[in-house]
Amino acid sequence: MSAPKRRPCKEPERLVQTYADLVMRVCYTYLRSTADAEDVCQETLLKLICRKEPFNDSGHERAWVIRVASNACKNLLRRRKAHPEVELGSIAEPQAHAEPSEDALRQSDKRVLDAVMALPLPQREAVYLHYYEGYGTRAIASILETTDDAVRQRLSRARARLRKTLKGDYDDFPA
Amino acid sequence: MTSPLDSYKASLDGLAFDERAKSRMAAKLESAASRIEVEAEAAAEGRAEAATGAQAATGAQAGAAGQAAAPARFVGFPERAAARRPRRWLGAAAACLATTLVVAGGGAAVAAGVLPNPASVLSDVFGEAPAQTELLDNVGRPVGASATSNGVTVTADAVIGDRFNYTIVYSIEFEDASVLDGLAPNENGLLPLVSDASTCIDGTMSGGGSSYFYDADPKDNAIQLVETMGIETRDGSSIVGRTAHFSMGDIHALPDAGEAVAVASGSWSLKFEMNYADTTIDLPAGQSTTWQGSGVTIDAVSVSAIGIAVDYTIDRQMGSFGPSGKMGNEGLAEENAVIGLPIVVTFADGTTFDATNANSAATKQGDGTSAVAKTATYDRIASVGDITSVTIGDVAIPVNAA
Repeated sequence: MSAPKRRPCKEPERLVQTYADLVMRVCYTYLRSTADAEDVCQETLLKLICRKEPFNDSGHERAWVIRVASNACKNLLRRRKAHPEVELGSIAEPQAHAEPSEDALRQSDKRVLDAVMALPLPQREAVYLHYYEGYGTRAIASILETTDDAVRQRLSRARARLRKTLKGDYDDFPA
Repeated sequence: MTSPLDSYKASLDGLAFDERAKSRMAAKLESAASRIEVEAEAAAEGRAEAATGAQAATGAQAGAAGQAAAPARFVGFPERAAARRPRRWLGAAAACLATTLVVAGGGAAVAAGVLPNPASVLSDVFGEAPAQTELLDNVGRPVGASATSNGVTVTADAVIGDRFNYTIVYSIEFEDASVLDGLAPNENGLLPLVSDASTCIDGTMSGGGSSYFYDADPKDNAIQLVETMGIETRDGSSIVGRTAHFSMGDIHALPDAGEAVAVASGSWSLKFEMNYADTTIDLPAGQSTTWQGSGVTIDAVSVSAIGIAVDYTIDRQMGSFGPSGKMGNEGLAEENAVIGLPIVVTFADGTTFDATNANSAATKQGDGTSAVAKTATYDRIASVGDITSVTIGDVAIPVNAA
């Protein structure tokens, strides 16, 4: 007998409390900015509200949120690449709320974060999902719709690059 | 010494929305969720056109497919999913709701020769009068992009549009057509299906419109998805020639009772050029009028064979709509006082198209005014020469003045 499926939660306030900060971190990882985090968050959570299919469990739901948010970020990156002449900074957006978070971020150990954020996107997303979110390589492969080997390779290259960048000052990122 | 891993984690721990932002997002989601619930109920009852009671139909007559409702307005946050439903307005930075998913075996272009004639496809949407078919031949173009997943092939069959409006017809072909057995159209001829399908066009920043499923030929193994949208571009230029990105997830049927049933599972992504003849003409602007006691300046008006776009500035702004939850009459009245300026298109045969409830977006300006943009696709195809006038508030603008 299969376990009961978990239907998507339809309570917006609880969804925001549960996932908003997660989406902001996904945004920062992909976009190197939190300027679009609120839009991406709303887009992601609306999709979650609209979703009909039940989730297997809360972990399944969380992974789905990460995937949808990361896809939204990739869409933004793609559009910016396609239209580099468009300066998003010239578009008035209600983003003042994002600044304190970034300020707080800058006060912490900036050097390590800078090193991670300097990684190519495939490595950066793998590092985020593995070292911050705690996913194994298989789970990351599922979220990113790639192979386990590809994830392992990205993590390996990321560690090598971080080791070189942070040489002498810190311990390594554990394998 | 702090390890780099701890440092990295600590840095990301510091990233969080403040409570005000979370409250704002929760309120918007609450509002969107309420609308979705109403729409889903209405669709399940075969009354999709009544999904948003405040969003009155524009008086559009049913076309060959039997569609009834016309675009409605929604400001602030995307709406979603129900047959022939009013849909989204997006924030400036969130240009679309597209979900980009990997498509199994998909994305291959289809040779133009095997595509249906765009006029024959679009005539289902806009009517079959010979003159319309001729116009459709002139302005519609096959777009020819296709993707297959789990035995279901989605193809962009035809696109028609103007500077800021478009209608795209997608066909959805099932290898196993038995999944469509028992799927009956509602009283408007529309199939009670929902999906998170969306089209995103490069360089656009907001949009609103409707989409619906119908079955052009019940004898074949395909159904059609029609998406009609009016959108704004970041630089104010036309959408013609831009790249459209379409994505769609699972399709579900909404039975009269009980849970939604999956009709197709998978994900489909395809892209194509928005290639069609743009018949847009600009009408004289700069006139002044009033709406509910507020001064209005008409900034731009354009009409085409398929739709209308109006920009105006009004000396009024909407508030916050109060606490989260269903928008009350006061909020709706406040919204109407800004975006409800009546717009009517009059055709040479004396018929009219009411674009008052068009897709609308209002942007608050620093001087206390609002810049409003409204776009709508007619319920018909019309030669621009057959459009007599556009009346905005009490200002009548003859089309021959262009």
